[in-house]
Formats: sequence, C-alpha cells, structure tokens
Amino acid sequence: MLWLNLAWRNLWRNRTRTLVLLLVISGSLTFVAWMQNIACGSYDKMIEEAVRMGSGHLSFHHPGYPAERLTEQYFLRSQAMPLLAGRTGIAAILPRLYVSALARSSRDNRAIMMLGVDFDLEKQVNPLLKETKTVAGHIPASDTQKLAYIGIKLAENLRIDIGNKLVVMFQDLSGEINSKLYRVGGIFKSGVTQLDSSTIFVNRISLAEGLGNRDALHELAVLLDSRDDLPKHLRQLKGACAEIHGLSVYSWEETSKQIADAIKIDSTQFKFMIFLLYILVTVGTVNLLLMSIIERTREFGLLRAIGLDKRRIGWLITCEALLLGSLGALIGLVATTVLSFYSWHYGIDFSAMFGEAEVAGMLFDMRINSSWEWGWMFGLAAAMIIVVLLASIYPVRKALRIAPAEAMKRH
Amino acid sequence: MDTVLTKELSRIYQNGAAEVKAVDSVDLTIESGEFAVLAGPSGSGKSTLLNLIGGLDRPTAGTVHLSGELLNEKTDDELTRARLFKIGFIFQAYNLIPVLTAYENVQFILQIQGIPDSQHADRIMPLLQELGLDGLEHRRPSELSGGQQQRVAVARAIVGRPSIILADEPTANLDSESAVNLLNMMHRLNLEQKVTFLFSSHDQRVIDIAQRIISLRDGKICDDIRKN
Ligand SMILES: Nc1ncnc2c1ncn2[C@@H]1O[C@H](COP(=O)(O)OP(=O)(O)OP(=O)(O)O)[C@@H](O)[C@H]1O
Ligand SMILES: [Mg+2]
Repeated sequence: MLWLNLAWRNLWRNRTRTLVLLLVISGSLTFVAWMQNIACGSYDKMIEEAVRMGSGHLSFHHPGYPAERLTEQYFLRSQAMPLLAGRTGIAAILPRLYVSALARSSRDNRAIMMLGVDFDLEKQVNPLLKETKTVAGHIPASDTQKLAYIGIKLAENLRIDIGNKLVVMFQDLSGEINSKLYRVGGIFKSGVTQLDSSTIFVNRISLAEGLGNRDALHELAVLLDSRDDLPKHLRQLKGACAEIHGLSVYSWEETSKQIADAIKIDSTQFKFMIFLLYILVTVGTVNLLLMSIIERTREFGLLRAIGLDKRRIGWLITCEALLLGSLGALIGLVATTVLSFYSWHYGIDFSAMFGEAEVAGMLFDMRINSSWEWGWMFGLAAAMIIVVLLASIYPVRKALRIAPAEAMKRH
Repeated sequence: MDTVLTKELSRIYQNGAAEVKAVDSVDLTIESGEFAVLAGPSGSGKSTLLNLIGGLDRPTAGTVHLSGELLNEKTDDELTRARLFKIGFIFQAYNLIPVLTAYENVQFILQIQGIPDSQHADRIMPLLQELGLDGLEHRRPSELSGGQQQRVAVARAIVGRPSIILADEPTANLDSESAVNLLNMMHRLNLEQKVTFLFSSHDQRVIDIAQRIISLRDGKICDDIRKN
C-alpha cells in the first residue's frame, strides 16, 4: 500500500507526461481491440454468407468431388440423411446437384452450370436466391418441375426472357447425352459476373431424373445454428462417414478454402500490425519513463541515502509502471467496450469506402457488425500491461545504477 | 563508547592524471552524545568525510567503524541497512520526498524500518512539536519554508533512533536567523535525547554553537577543539 500510494503520487508529479502516456497506452489498446472486434465481425459475416452461398458449415460429398467436380462423382441422399437424423443444432439441410451443360435458345447457345436445388429450402437461407436479387419473374416454387431461374447476363446472351424456352444438354450418370426443356421462370442479378453469365437454377428432382438417378446428389450442405458446434459435429460425422463407402464430410474451411485463406491472411496481417504497434508503445513508454527517472536522479540518491535498498527502489518504479499500465489498460477496455457496443449494435457501413466486396467468386455486403472478442480484449489489455512493465526494465536498471554520493551533489 | 572511529581514512579521486586527496589519512573518534562540527573551507573534504562515515561512499584506504562495526566489509545492501537503522542523514537541501507531506516524510522511515503503524503518531508528533512544526504536518515540502523543510529533515533523521546524525551543511541554504534557530533545536535534541550529531559548516555563527570543532584543510584534520 505504501509503495502503491507513493507510486501513484509520483505518477501525477508530471501530469502532462502521465496523461500523454495514458493516452498512448489506452489509445493503442482501444484501436487494436476495437479493430479486432470489427475484423472478427467481418470474418463472421463473410463465413456466414459464404456458408449460405456455398457448401454450408459442413457438407457431404463423394470423396473425390471437392477436388475434381465430375458429374459422375455423386452419392445417394439416402446414404447421408440417416447420419443427420436426430442431430440437434442443425438449421438447414440443402441437397444440391451441379451439372455442366450446354444451354441453347432459339437464338444462341452457351456453356453453363446447372444447379439442381430445392427452391423453397434455398430461399430461406441462400443470399443468392432472394427476391431482392430477382430482376424479372419469380424464384420458382419447389413443386414446379420445368421452370428455370437464370442469370441476367446469360438471358441477354441467349436473348431470352420470362416464359421463353431453353434446352439444356448434358451427360447423364451413365455417360449418355441427355437433353431437357425448361422455361425461364425468373431472372436474377447477383453482381458476380460468373454467376450472372453462366448459372441456371432448376428443380433438383427433375435434374436428378435427367441424370438417371432420382436420389443422386453432389452436395448435401448443412447449416448449423452455431459455428461453435462445428468441430463436434464434424468429428462425429467424419467418424460415421468412415464406414460408408463413397461418402465423405467436409468443413466450410475445406470447401471454401479461398475464403478461409483470405481470412487467415487478413488476421495474420492484423496480428503483425498489433505487434508493431505494441513495439512502438514500448519505445515511447521507455522514453517517457526514462525521462521521469533522470529528472529524479537526486531523489533516488536521497532515497538510497536514507536507507532504501535497490530492491525497494526497483519495486517503487515497477509499481509506477504497473499503475500506469493497469490504468491505461482499464481506460482502453472501457473505450473499446463503448466503441464496440456502437459498432455491434448499429454496425459500420464500409460500403461507402469499398462498395460490395467480391471475394473468391462471392459477393459480400460491407455493412459490418462487430463481434465481442472478450478473450482478445482482455488478452490485448494484459499484453499492454506487460509491455509497460517490460518498458520499465531499462529505466529501473538506470535508476539502480545511480550512486547515492554522486547523486546528492546534483541540484 | 565510540560511535565513530576512523583509522587512516583516505578517499582519493582520480582526476585524469592528477590525484585529488579529498580525505587524507584521517583518524577521528566521535563519542556517543557529542555535538561536533566539521569546519573548513570549500573543497576541504567535509562532504567526502561525512559520506565515508555514513557508508554512502567507500574509502580508498583506511577503516571506518560505526558503533563498533567495520563498514569496509559490508556489502551494499548491508550498508543500506546500516544507513536505515544507525544513521540519520541531513543534506544541504531537497531532503524531502516532494510528494509526501511533512508527517509522511518522517513516517516513511518508520514504515521502511517496519515499525507497526500504531506507534507512528506517538513517535512523530512530539518530535514535530519539539521542532516547532505543529500545524504544518499535512503540508507538502513545496508549501514549507527552507527552514521548516530542514526541521522536517531533522525530524526524519532522528525518528528512526539512529546512533548518529550526519548533516552536510544543513544550514547552507538558510538565512542566518533560521540557521542559528535550526542549530539550537538540533543542540537541544542533542542535550535532551542524547542524540549524537556530526555536521559540517563554514558559517562561523553555526560553528560557534558546536561543542567540538574539527577543522579540515586539504583533507586533513588541522585542528580539533572541545569546549566544556
Ligand atoms: N566525484 C569527484 N571527482 C573528483 N573530485 C572530487 C569529486 N568529489 C569531490 N571531489 C574533490 O574532492 C575535494 C573535496 O570535496 P568535498 O565535496 O568533500 O569538499 P567540501 O569540503 O564538502 O566542499 P564544499 O564546502 O564546497 O561542499 C574537492 O577538491 C573536490 O573537488
Ligand atoms: Mg560539501
């Protein structure tokens, strides 16, 4: 108590210097902790949108499919569904077929990708199949067999509109060429060139029948209620899949590798930035603490003369650094909480700066709500206190080198 | 009993090629209860000798005994401990810790000596009263006059019950009235509480109050007069 009290009063001897130091410490902490909350919020958003547009939090495939994507690498819905029966924490199950085909209208033809989906299921979760993206017609209902939902660019290239016919030709599962007739039920504009120019969504069952097996799937995407449960489900399902021939389960990190990598790179860069900033704070703190020690050279001489040993002098300065670091960390945490509350509750709209962002063929909305990374916040605050304590090592050593007899000659 | 005993005590500074014998083979004995002054012109070695006796500096040659203990053999930490328990230091100026009040400055010594809090007030308040500081105990050093600050320094030097108080020109920054006043108070404490004092000065009015005048010149004792 004696030392903390003395240290506290010493801190306020030079009010300006202490305030500057507190500002540097708490400001840096607030900056990195808040940015971390925003960054994690944006990662969350990217992941959540990516899993909805892409293959879910986890997905079932034929073991070779994620790498090669061949039409004949299919599995049966009846193989996978029993594994999910009775499992809790599942938000949606989306069966899908992916078939490359040639689309022909009366005017032109184009190479395309056909997605066989259950429209009613997709509409609830897939950001691509929202009425807001529909520019003409409607998203077909699940029970309509012959309607196609096609990209705007493709419609332009084939010069077709709502109600027009188009014929698609593809290889079925036995390698035979098959063709099917669809009518345009709706036209969408996603903003992603590849989707708009070469994608058509059709009824999965009708496509499966065209392929020659009503039960065939290329993907069974599973959305979870919470991403936190992913490791648990993944572990259990991988175990179960090991016993089924021709069926494997993958996490979103494996199926949306580009997104996962983009996040990894971004967070690594951010960690490096935190590291640099903390180094800067260390340098600044060393300088200001050193100034306060040198100004007090005579006083340290006096303290030695009246009977304080080196250990106690060192402890006194350490207490000053500890108080400074703790107070700075506390202010920083409070400021981070206030700012994060705002950005969590109201969100921050980066679209003015960046527009919509296209990452790995997916389009992301740039309105970001920060998340609460309490572990990071307290970790960064603790690291800041450690930084200030480390910064006091050199000044402490300097103070301990003061010879009392010499120091007392100064005025 | 001898409080201080020095034998052939020397402190030589190396100033480039030149040697400065700041203290030169000094044999000095201070007995318990003395009120002695080191007198001498500037540069005669007063501060150096006081620092050697107080264990703030180490001799080039010779020995210092303090209450029978040989200081030469002590480690830095042991010397610091000796200063805490056996010696009270008073310097020319800036004796006090600026962020502590008068009372706290005195209390600081008791705290680091490990004296229980309950005894502090009983030991500090009479001392402050004796030194004419009552009513000023909650002031910080910057709110005290130079003379008041030096009296607080005396209180701090004495409160830990040391064997000797070493004061290096305690009056140098005071006007002569305050200086004589301070010395009279120190003398009274010497008489009433039997505290041993060794101080330095080159102010004749201050020197005259001392019971024993040890004159230094070029690091040597040139005269040693005891009054009765
Ligand atoms: N650190 C040092 N390095 C070199 N010489 C020193 C050092 N300290 C003191 N001296 C020299 O030692 C001699 C004695 O100095 P000291 O300070 O003991 O004298 P003093 O009697 O206290 O003088 P004053 O009345 O001015 O305080 C002087 O010649 C001084 O120049
Ligand atoms: Mg001197």
